Amino acid sequence: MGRLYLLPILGLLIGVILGLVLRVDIPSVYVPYLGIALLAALDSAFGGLRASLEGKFNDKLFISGFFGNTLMAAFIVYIGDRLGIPLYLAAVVAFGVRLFQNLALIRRLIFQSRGWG
Amino acid sequence: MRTNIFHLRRIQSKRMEITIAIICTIIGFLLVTQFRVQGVLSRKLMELSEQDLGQIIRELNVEIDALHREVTGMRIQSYKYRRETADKQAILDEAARNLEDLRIVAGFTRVQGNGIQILIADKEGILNEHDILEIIQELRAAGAEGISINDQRVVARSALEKREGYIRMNGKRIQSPYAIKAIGNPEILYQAVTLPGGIKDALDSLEGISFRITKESKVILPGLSPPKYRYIAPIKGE
Repeated sequence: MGRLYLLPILGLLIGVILGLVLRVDIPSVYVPYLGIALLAALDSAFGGLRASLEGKFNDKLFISGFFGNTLMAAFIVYIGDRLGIPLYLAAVVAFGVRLFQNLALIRRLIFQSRGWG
Repeated sequence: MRTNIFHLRRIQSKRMEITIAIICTIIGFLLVTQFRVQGVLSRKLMELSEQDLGQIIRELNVEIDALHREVTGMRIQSYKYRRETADKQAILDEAARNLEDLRIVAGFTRVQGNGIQILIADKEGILNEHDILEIIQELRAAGAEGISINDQRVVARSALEKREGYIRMNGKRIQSPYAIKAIGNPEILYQAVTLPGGIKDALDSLEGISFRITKESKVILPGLSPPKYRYIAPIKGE
């Protein structure tokens, strides 16, 4: 079990270091898009974690979900901006709610698997 | 077979791990970038707002000061102009008053006031310019401010000439009956003319002369049009 988390954590670390080293500057206009994309990515990641804990993990579904959700989130926010509709809020609420649900489920699954519940 | 499946699972598991690791890398990258950009952005915004607001306030203050100064300057200028205008107006008024006085003195305007009227009928035509001049002198001595004879104003330039059957004054002929009007204190003028042994007595004693004098509350004297000066000119600088 421990070994399963090693590589993802390593990846996360590499990503953080890359981000720190590369110092990619994003125009302030695109910051909301990046934010919402990040939220979608986190949602996908936690979804994936939940799926793996439930033993239902599907890497194709996971990858398509990750990229699809991220890009769709950014696109929806962009469209909302252009239309003058705060779809940004809808995306935040939708992904946020699901994120917390996933987190709760993950917690429960970990408890169950450890036999704490 | 078992090992094969196991091997397959291992490969699948490995691939899954790598996939998740890559996703995690991306998430980490995005996280850090967002974190940094957001931080920089908010810091920049704060700096911007602080500095910019300070700058804007300073600039606005400078502008306000400048505008205040401008307002003050304009008020001063307006006040100056107004005072200048008032001064000019005062000067003009003064000049107009002076001119009016001078015109009255010169006899260029129609004037009115208290005074007397003398009517002299000279049937025989014995009155000469000296008699008229004497009356004028007497009236002037009594403080007459304006005199006219037969609607001819007596002014400083007026001269009396005896012609055949009439007297000439201001280039016009005047003849009997003479109507002499004078503006001044009616009492004094009256007394001056009717003094015992004075003009009235002297003229009354003559043959064919009738002399009537009345005090008037409103005497109107005509104006004399100003002459054209051809030879005289003021000396400059005096």
